[in-house]
Amino acid sequence: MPWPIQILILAVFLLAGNFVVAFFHIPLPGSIVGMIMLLTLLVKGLVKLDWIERVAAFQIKHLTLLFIPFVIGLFLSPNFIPLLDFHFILVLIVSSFCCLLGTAYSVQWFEKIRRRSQK
Amino acid sequence: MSSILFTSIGCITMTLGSYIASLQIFRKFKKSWLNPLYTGTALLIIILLLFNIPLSVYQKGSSLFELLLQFSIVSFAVPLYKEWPLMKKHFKKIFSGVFSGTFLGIFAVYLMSQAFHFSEEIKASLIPRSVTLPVALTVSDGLGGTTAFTVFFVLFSGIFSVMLGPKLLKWLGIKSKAAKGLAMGTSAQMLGANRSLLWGEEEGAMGCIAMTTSALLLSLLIPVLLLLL
Repeated sequence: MPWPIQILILAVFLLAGNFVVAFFHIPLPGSIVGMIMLLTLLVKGLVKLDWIERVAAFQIKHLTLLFIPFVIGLFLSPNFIPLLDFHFILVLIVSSFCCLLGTAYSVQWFEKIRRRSQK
Repeated sequence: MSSILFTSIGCITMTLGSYIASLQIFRKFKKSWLNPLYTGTALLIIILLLFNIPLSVYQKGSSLFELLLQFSIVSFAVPLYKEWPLMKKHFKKIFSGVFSGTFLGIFAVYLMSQAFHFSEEIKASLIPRSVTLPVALTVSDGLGGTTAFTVFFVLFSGIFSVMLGPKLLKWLGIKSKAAKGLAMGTSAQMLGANRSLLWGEEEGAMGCIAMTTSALLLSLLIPVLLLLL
């Protein structure tokens, strides 16, 4: 599939997601709903992977590019200095640890139970 | 009209140029601290300051990237679909890991925000701090957070987790490949998924799965989180 058509297919899913969200008043981002629809159709085999694969892979590979304007907005905005507040940093550090260890330990615990039940 | 078009083209060219230049530098020297996110941003800031372009003009001119970010969320269906067999096989393990990590993270944010008396705006920007930026921005928008806050919180959490996470996991003696990959993907999203690829293929796949499923989980939790704020 040529790449302009691949972009068009992704655009259709994005628009469809936005439409569904607006129409049914779902409190979800339209892009997420579009992604779920695309994934469902891929799994069901109604959309073939090579219809969209090249553009999607290219976009994810260069995701960093899309972050740059936001980081610029952050650094050059007058709100940046108050963000370096000790309380914010503390919350971010503690919650990152909770997230990291919560995942790691629950997965390890799950594997241990699985192994015990298999014996 | 033509001036808007002109600034847009200028801003997009500057952004693309800085990104491509920093990507070349990264490919040449292959140092992780030369990540295009850091060098590209630094380069672009220098350009903006040098030509005296105010932030408001740049932001107006670069709105195309916001649209592309929406597109990239839809594109995440592709890596999820590719890892589908692995996800189906380890569904319970992945779900329990990603869910408890995300839940504990939000719980910590909630408790500490209450203790420090943060405003609702800040709470809403703190909650999506562990998921990938495009999704975090949409979630924070849905909860009533601000872009600048969310970007800072997401980047700080990601960089912090990716710098200390691997050492911490090693120190605590966590050896399971799935646990390492999922933990990095859940807490440091794209940066973590990239980092877990360095450990090996299984860790990398798990990191990618954790990044996408945690983003999906958090956006599905928006209605519940709205009650919490």
